[in-house]
Amino acid sequence: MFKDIRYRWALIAVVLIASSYLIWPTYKLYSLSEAEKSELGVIVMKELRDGAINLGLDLQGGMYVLLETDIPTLVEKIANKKTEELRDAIQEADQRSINNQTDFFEEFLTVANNRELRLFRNYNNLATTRDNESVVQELKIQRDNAIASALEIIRNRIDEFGVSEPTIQKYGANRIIVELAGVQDSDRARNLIQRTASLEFTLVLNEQWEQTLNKIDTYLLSDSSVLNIDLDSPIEKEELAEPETSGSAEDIFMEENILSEPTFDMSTPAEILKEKPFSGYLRAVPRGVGVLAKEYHIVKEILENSEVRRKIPRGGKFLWSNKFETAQDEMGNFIEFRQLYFVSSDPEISGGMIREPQAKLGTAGTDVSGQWVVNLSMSPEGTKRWSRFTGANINRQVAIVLDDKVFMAPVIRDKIPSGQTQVTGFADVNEAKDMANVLRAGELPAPVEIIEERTVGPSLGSDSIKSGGKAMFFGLIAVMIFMIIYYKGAGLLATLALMLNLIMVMAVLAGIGATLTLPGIAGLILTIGMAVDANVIIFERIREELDLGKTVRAAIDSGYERAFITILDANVTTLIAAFVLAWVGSGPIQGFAITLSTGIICSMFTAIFVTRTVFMFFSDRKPLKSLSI
Amino acid sequence: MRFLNKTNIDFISKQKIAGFLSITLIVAGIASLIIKGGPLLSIDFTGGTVAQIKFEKPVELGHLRETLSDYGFEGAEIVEFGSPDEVLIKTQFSGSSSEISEQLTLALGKTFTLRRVESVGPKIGKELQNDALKAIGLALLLILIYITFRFDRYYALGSVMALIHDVLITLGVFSLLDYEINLSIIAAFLTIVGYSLNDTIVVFDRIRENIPKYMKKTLNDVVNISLNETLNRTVITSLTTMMVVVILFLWGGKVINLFAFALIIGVFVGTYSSLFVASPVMVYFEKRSKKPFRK
Repeated sequence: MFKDIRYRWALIAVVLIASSYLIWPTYKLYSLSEAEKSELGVIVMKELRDGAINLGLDLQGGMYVLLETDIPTLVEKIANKKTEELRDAIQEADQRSINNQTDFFEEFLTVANNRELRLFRNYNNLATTRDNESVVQELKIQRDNAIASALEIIRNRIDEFGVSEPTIQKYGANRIIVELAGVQDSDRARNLIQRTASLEFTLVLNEQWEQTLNKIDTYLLSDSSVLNIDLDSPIEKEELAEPETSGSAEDIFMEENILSEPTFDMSTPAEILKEKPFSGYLRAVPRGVGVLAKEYHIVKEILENSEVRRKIPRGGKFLWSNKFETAQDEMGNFIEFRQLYFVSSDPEISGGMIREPQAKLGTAGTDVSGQWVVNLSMSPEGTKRWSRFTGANINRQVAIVLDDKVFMAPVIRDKIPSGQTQVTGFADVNEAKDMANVLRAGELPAPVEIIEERTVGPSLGSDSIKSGGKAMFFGLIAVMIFMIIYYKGAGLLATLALMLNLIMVMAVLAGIGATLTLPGIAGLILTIGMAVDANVIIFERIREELDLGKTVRAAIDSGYERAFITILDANVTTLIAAFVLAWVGSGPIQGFAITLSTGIICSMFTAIFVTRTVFMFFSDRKPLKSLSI
Repeated sequence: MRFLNKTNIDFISKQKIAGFLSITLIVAGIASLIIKGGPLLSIDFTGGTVAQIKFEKPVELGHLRETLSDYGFEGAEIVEFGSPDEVLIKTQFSGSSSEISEQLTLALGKTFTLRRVESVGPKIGKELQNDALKAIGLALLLILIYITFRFDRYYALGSVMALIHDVLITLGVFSLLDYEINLSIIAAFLTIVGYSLNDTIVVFDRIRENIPKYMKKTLNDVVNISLNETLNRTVITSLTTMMVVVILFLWGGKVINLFAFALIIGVFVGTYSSLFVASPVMVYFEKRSKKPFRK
């Protein structure tokens, strides 16, 4: 039917109309102003977004995070009888699965069988038959449940974070991809995702400060090898090196408090460190004990030293607050610090016992009226423990600990017999909501860790769009000019085909809901260069045929026919490479492969079919004597 | 307009010079790879963290290095990235990237903007490495099968030799210049594979067409005729592709700069190899085979 030129024009028209239809949402979406967008409303905008080509994170800024569930830990956690044999088996299976790049559960079953472990003994809480295979099968189901709930929890948190189009999807058996387009405050987002380990309420042991500090100081004085830090030259940090005067907060270290020493350098003076190599770094801050931001890594290093850790009294541990804070001292100087807590290492309440935490505005008429608070209740077991615990520790602090970071340490005002608890002291709604999130997530059933993270700032993204667009424009112009100069009329035809090709590629990308990434733009640009290849092959062939003395019509016909096979073979090989990339590759590489292969396939239509139709159109009307080629 | 009129270059007789040139380049590249202990892999494959930061004004790298090493970035690799006020910090800093940005703020104050942070865990790195090797191996295998099916196995051998040649030289150039191989460079390599093949197939296609046409000529002559006949096309397509790739290199932005560079090398070497490597290798094996198309 394609011998008849009318059908050919019809097909071209259909393709053009379909392409325009598919591109329309993309055009509309990116030409709208912010005001117009909000006017259209959420539903219309969602339709537009679904139909449009989305920009990848590398182009609009945002973050990509790949999370993985720590399966071995999960498997150990599930066991209701944790024996040494089980731990060893889990460890070996983990090692083997890493080394052989195999599935953990397969290895676990093998290891258990090799060691003649009867897993049912460790997992008699699972409803399975007694053989190892069915226990492992059940563990896999538990894993799937864990991932599913982790997904829900992350989704729940992200929704509250307010990202317009977040991607949260399961990837493989135990991974989760989180993509937050346009997220500016990546720290907050990161914390929100990463807040996954265990949540605990644990007692703050303020009364043990002195004893603990003395022990560490004494130890450090006796063994200076721990401190490989040059004490005589504290690290400079310009904006913090401001004149310093007496401290304002309550002095819990008596006369040792170095804030009372007038000095022009905020860093801890060497003389103090000679006497108190550890506690010298600690300062009184508004709500407890803090360490200057610029000295944070020194103190952290000391605390991570294994010998130092041994000196810490049993039953207690040091924990950092979740973020750096700034406070103003009496003279109006800002100090930047991180709070340090000494808490009980035996937590009283774990996340699983916490129920329905909610951020709310304090009830009118109470003393928290107008302030943001977080309300929560407890499970029956939690209620019992909480009642006993709060009763015994009135006016002491309890630390809310997530991922070994202290989020806040409110003071227990009263015994709480019902479990109905109110946490106060939030600066704004975000703080309260985030805290409720922390509490709501409670304890993720499985520990999740970030194994890959890519963050692109919005400025880099817009730079990339600009430079990608520029390269595309120049590339297109250069190729067009070249083709028109070299092949004249036929070259003009080829450039029209090239433009049609680009429109088609865009349409296909919009149609399949692809995301345009920077490598994708590179693929498009490469397509511009390679798509003309089909026309080059055809035109060269036609020239050869004309040189042989054929008539214009015959040269065109045999040129196209002979060139077709060549083009097909040549393109199929490139397509094979592109398909493999799209299949095996991930993320940006996939984007590149998809645009490149779409470009090649579309070029077969535009460069062969469309150009030939135009040639036919001219040569059918009257026999051509010569060809502009 | 026509660049080349009726050429008659004896490509096959140049195979000694070409072979010498190719082998020299490949040996230099491989030597560099051996001396440097393999290709310089990016954090995509080794795991680690890379941060791209932009300062308000140009910075002195030596000073920056000192400051950062005081703040836990000992041994970090710090290089200028595109312009003097922008740097790339590559580090094995173990810690979440929020800790990295915290640490950077501590070290440098608020004098910079964090443009990009990528951190890849060691386990994922190993997996990506496997995936990349799998992708390249799979692509080569499928292409080999396709060409064997469409032509014969000696053509397949010739074309695959040509692409191994292209990838080895590009890899060697990257090693010699101490450029990093990251995920997008792997994509560039596979594009080179596709492009080089495209070129080679066009020539092979013409050889296939010419063999029955020139029954009295030797295979060498047929190959030479075919190479000359397709020379115009080879040059022009290389030229248009090179134009866009060079434009991509110049204006495509820093992030895809290396990607574009790999493609420039690849297009150049790919064009060369389809003229001087693929066909001679094919001729060499075809002549020694028991059932040749033509002696």
